[in-house]
Amino acid sequence: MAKLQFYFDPLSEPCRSVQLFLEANKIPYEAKLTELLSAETRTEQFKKINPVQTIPAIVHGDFKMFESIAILQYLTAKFSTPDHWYPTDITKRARINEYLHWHHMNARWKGGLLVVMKYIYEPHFYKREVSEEVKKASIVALKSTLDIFEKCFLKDHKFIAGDEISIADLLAIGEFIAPDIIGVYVGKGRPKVEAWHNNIKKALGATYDKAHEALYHHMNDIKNLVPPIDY
Amino acid sequence: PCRAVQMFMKMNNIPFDYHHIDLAKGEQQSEAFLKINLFGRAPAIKDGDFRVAESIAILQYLAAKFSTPDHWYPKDITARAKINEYLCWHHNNTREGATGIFFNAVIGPKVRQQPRDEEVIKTAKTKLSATLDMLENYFLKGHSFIASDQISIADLLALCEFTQIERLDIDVGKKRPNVKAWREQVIAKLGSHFDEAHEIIIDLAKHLNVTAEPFE
Repeated sequence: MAKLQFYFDPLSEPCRSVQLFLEANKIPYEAKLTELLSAETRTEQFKKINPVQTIPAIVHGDFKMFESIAILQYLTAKFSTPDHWYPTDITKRARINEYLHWHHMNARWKGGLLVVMKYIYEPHFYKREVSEEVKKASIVALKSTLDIFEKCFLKDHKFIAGDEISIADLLAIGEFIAPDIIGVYVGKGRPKVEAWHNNIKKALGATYDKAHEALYHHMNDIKNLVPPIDY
Repeated sequence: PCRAVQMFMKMNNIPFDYHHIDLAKGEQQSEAFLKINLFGRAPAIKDGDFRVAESIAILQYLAAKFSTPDHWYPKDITARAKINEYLCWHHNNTREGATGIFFNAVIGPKVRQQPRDEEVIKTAKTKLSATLDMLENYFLKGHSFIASDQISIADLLALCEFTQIERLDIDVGKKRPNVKAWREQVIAKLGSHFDEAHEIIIDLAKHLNVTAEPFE
């Protein structure tokens, strides 16, 4: 099998989800660092890898694809990873698919990314004005998304799908942990979410720490840009 | 998304009991419906004791459970990956663009008595334009259907977003020959099931006196 080429930026939430999966399953890959803040996805060269110019993207021999969730689904099948990652049982898979499709417009766009965009990236990196009202609204959106996440997905389980970790957990934690670098920790006041986060860290061990090194290192770059947030 | 699931079940002769959820009356938030679907959104299915929400998850479940012809959601790893790629991209692109326009130009002003937000509509139109370009130049490039030479669940989902905005005289195939041909082929495949599923949206548009919305 050709070696997988993985185009990613560890500061990107969906990239971290795929990286966690690759590392946890010891799938060999060629790391192709593609930095968002340096606009490396906007080059003509990267457009040949992914016409939508998003990351993550993979090249596997002659096969190329994008969209983190679709990539994870491909990897579970192609590398025959342990069943719990994306069970073949129809009802267990349906439960995870429900999460995967809710994720896009909820955890991804009304979750941690929204908060970091409004507090860090839009005002300080992309030089767009963001009112205090819009910033606060992002925190309200995150809390509302977490309420649904707890009630409809996490419930009383150890992981989203039940007792074992799956690709759903990798995607969710990718998004929800993002604003931790500005002191917005989703486990605060939410013991089930905190327990779930700890379950993930325990299940992944050193793999979790490695995938988050760059994120927490980045915290040093941005700590003086954002005043303390009331969360 | 409800129409997409309905047409899939009809095309595959999957028997079902239909329960109308009146979205305009907020029935999706009723206590009775929340027992079916905690998210309070339609569509939802109940198969014995097993409940599934999210249209794409429902379609994936039905394809597996009822062993529908492979082309609907192919088992081949790379063929499925390409369809999954579209299914993921769909949410923030096709759906956000097309439903963004429909919701803000029709449902908002005519059902919820909210003023039109021109900025939001303009953003949705930009999104729709970019979406159609991607369909024209990537997803349909070299294929009769989305990422495939045969119809799949991806085509049902995309088509339903576009047929909705056709009520506003937005012709998605106007400047895009691949999109135009695709649309005609999907509708031809669906036959009477297409007409049946769309009766209600045609009636709704007449009832609300929906007018044309400019779009290039």
